[in-house]
Amino acid sequence: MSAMLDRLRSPEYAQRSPGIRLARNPRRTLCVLRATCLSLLSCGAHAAEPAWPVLPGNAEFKTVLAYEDTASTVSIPSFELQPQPVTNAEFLRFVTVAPEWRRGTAPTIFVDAEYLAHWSGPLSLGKNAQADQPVSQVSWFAAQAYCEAQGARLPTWSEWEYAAAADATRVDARQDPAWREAILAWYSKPSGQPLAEVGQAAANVYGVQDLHGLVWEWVDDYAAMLVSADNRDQGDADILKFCGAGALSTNDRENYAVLMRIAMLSALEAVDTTRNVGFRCARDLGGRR
Amino acid sequence: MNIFEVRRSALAHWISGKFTSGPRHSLGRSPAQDAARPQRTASRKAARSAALQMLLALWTCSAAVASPLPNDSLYQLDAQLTAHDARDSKLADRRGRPQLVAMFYTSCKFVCPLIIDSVKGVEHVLTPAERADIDFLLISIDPERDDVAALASVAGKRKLGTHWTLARTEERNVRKLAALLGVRYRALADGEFNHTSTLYLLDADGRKLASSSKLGTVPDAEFVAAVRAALSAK
Repeated sequence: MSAMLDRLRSPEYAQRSPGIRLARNPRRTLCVLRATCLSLLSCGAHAAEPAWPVLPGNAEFKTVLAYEDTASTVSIPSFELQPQPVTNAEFLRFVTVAPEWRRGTAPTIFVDAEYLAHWSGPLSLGKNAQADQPVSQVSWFAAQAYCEAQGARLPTWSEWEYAAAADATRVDARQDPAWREAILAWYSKPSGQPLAEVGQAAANVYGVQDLHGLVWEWVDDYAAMLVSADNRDQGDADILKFCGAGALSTNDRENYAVLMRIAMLSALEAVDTTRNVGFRCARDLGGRR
Repeated sequence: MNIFEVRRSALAHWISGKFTSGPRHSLGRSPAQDAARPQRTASRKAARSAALQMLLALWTCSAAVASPLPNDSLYQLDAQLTAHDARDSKLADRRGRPQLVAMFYTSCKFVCPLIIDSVKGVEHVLTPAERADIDFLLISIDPERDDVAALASVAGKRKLGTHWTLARTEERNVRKLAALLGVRYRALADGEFNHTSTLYLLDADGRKLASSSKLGTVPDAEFVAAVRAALSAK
């Protein structure tokens, strides 16, 4: 199977697939098409997604977000996390069966004007959106809808942060300056470059890839992270807007990489789409969601 | 010709074409329609076209009622609400009347009672006629604990009128509704929530028109003006 995949991905194959020249020989074209269809079908059957790694729970995960109420640790029950970000090809399959989420059809209350704008059409990827690149230009609503359609959900911030604290050998590599450097290096890259394909980076200790260095990722409660006395709405800043208290600070001022991510996500609205924000899904153990 | 007349004459034509033969005057049709066979075919045609017109008229009628939701309507969200009177409905069923919407939770001790006060504040400055044309919808951010009994208890204690709905919806829809409205909230370790407490005005099609963050029994004048404008636009 992997040999077949390699062949499909090989440059020779890529050169063959455009097929315009082949069209002069209808019988051969048919042959190639049939072979392509068959291989796609069998791939489809196999690509039935690698199993989602199960992350063990952690009753006292030390989060960089410190709220007055949490004493800087959060309890994370065991959960499953999609090993790679959702790709263009996967999202295309979703909108193929969910017409209400196609570009041009999805209501503007759920997606902004740039939703999937890099695709060549509502049902075609085109040259600016490779099948194995992470899908981006998707809103939080669209990401939620995708995950729900898979019987899953978006991970919470804590789940994401917990998974992303690991490196290839340690569950928590965050205090390692080399680890931090490596992650920060990504941020210094210009963001105009096309996104790399998913699955290029080494898996972390749980078998999860691309948590750093590829795209920002939506999380279920992205809108809640900076809920504190911060006044986000228009109006008088003195107005009492919150039940209870719970000012935000950080437990880990040195962890710029993660703090930048929080700042970035918190600046977004749920309809926003950007070139560098994608997502992956998660689910509870033993249940659909 | 109004739709009734179309229907009556179409029916008459159809009945007469179907069940009778020969000259007929009893149904009050014009003599020209009753003469010879070719004309009868013509009259059937006319009947058919009248019937079609009728169908078309009926269809346009119902289409006007179920016109597509605006793209920027909150009612695009397919969410089931369960009200304090245990009645289930779709969020989109609120369509047709302006709504005053806020999010809250029943065990909240400080701000949430104030949210209800604020909505009541708006209710009280409206005239009875205005009040009859608007609904007040409060949706819980704590669906785990806010069951129908909890909602009903608050509705009773606060003596909320018939235009009020305290509702719960599934957890996944709570976040979406909050995102659509602009409410931000976070569950605290002790079971309380941090949350913004803004009132939102939706038009009859579920589009956000205005919001007010002023809490208390004396409502924001600008917001009340927006409510009145929405009511007169109906």
